[in-house]
Amino acid sequence: MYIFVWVRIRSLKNIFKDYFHHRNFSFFIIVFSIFVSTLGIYLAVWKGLNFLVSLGGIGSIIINKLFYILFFIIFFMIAISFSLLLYSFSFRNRETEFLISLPIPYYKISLCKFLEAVILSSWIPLVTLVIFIAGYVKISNLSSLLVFSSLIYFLPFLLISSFFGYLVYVVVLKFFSFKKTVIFAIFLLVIFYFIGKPNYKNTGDILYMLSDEIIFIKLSRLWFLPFSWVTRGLINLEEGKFLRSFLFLANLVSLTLVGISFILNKGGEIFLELFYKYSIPKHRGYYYKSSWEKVLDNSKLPRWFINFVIKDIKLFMREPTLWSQFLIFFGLLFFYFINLRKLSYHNLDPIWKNLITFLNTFSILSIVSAFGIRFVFPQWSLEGRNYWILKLSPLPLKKIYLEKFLFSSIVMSLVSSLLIFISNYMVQIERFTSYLTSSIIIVGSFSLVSFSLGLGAYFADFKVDYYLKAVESWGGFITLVLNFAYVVITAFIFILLTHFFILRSEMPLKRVVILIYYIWVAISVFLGLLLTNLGFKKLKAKEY
Amino acid sequence: MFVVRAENLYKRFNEHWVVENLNLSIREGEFYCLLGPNGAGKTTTLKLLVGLLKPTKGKIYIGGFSLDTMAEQAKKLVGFIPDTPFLYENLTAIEFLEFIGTIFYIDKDTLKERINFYLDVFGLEEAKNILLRDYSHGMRQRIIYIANLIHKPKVLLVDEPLVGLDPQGINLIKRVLKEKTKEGMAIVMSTHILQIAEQLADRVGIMDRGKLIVEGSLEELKKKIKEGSLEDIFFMLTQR
Repeated sequence: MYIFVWVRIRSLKNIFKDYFHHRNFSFFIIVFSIFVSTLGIYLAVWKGLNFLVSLGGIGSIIINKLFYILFFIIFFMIAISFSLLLYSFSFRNRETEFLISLPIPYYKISLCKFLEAVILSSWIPLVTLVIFIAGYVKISNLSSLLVFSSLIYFLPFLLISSFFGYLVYVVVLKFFSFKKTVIFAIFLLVIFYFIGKPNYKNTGDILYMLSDEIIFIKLSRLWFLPFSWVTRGLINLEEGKFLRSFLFLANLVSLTLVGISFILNKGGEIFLELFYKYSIPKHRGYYYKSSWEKVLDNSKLPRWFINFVIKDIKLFMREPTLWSQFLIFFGLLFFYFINLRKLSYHNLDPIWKNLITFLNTFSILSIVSAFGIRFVFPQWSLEGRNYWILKLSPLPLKKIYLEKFLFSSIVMSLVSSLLIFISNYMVQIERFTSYLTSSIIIVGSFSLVSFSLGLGAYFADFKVDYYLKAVESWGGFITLVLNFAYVVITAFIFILLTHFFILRSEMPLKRVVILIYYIWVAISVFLGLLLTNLGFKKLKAKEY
Repeated sequence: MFVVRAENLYKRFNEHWVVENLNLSIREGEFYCLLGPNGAGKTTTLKLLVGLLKPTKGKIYIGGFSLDTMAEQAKKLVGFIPDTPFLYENLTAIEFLEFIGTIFYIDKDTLKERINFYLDVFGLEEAKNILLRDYSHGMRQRIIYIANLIHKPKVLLVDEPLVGLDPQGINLIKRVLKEKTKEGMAIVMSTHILQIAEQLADRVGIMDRGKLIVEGSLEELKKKIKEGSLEDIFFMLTQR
């Protein structure tokens, strides 16, 4: 195992050295961005918790619920992300084939891939959790030792989440086809729904909202599931009930050990079986024209445009890691939004409804931003070895750029506007906020796509053969920071503005909101055009 | 003694048989060339021999070890050069070769000695501390040869060995491979270049549609088919 760790560390060291010696400016920007992002998240958490503490008793109850929900969400986020990463690392990575041809025991290759996926899927949640705890410790005047001791709880929790993802990965890949997987996912959702179903009638008042009867809170507090053990362990630790806290830690550690021993004993065997099943094509697939293709074929749109759109849709649909992420993340949001009525959010005070609507807008834009980085950014790099076809074709690069932009932004804005429409309808928000959030979503989607595509063109690397490699590059990092900053600033401005608007409900303030909205649109368009221009020029000048 | 033995080997991708009833025995120091048109099953055969594919039926033995039950021991004796080899892009040549050496449990001093020797032979001495991502195609090919020679395999499986190499590179690889067979290393090479097979091979096997249709030394083949060059034999046997 040591040698695998050595290879990763060496590679990282060489990348680091390269940036430090040859790309001083890039290195400085990366360090600075990491520092500013961490500080920004810490300040946001600190401010948010401060606000909740200022509410008194209700605030403490909300913080308590937040802890449960945070670990609940992170558990599933890591599990989903882990299973997709493990699939990519194992069967979409040429390193696997190389390692299998060497005299290395399969369980070691499997363990190496497992740990790699654990680290990559959980480092962001880990940083988020530490920042959250650090903010909480500061607000509650607790000992900073709590931050360090909470790490003892986090690490087994991250491994258990990954192990859950591993089980899903094994079950789906080993036994299921696409149809069976969808049925399995619906079955799991139904089970969770019945476990989390409220015992009492939904009264919709604040006491009900703060009780444990809300489906997500109820699920997050289930005593027999590991995400509640962390929260319970930490709450007991904070209250000085060390023995109880240790009991939950022991639960976490023992489940982690079960997971590790399973991977060590069965991991190699499962890995090899799945490698033979998925890594090498097992049949010659025959693909015929589908009906959607025929519809597009017969449309009045320009021929070149149709052909590129058909190619992009096909490539997207034939890469399971791409469409599955798209389905999972937008699907989860969809599931959450259509259940908003059950959560009685439409009965809340306008100020809370407004906050929920903008948080929903923020979550949709965050997912659009993430998809911008994952799908739109690598598009130019993935043209890779085929770029000469584009370069030699009589079709101007401008048209190809336009197709990529229109295709991605129309798809993204359609999906996201449908989601915000459902959210607004369910929350029964008033017309002004509804129009505002919808237009923010549409402009935001177009902007995020133009940022990602522009930077993708600027940092295009034709040597990459898989989309994750492009995403992990320096350009991918810059796009991540820029997209994330854009989403956070947008959410922050509009939440604050509309908050004041509702508090005071005066016409001049409404005009201010509209004015700020126009300025925001202008800045978005300007940034989009700037990055498009930069990327396009660089791409055009690029030598193959 | 046979270093590679494949018995009644079959490989099926769904309903399609890509390798059918293949029997192969390669001796120590033998240079064996696998020829065939595109889609004949050459690459699949090499992937089966190195364990990248699981045979649908049949057994493979490398140096007497079954690839199915004693995979690690068998793979210690094999070197594999695919047509598009994988390299750790952010490692230098030296670091990559050290990685390979550690996987094959070569002691430090011997490894250093072998690395220096082969870097010199393949003319990469000056580029040894450059990251592999900055290597040209030819340099990448050379480094993958070094990686497969430093652990002294008993059998080297090579898939399309000369793709992208300049004439000097081709000459060098041919010379090195021929020398290695004299030292006892068996080489199984899949290629489209018939001249290479004519120049280097002790025995030639021609595959078509998953089957080994003919096998033997050049002289034997010429006697069997009663035709002129290897090219004539190849075209006659693989005509569709």
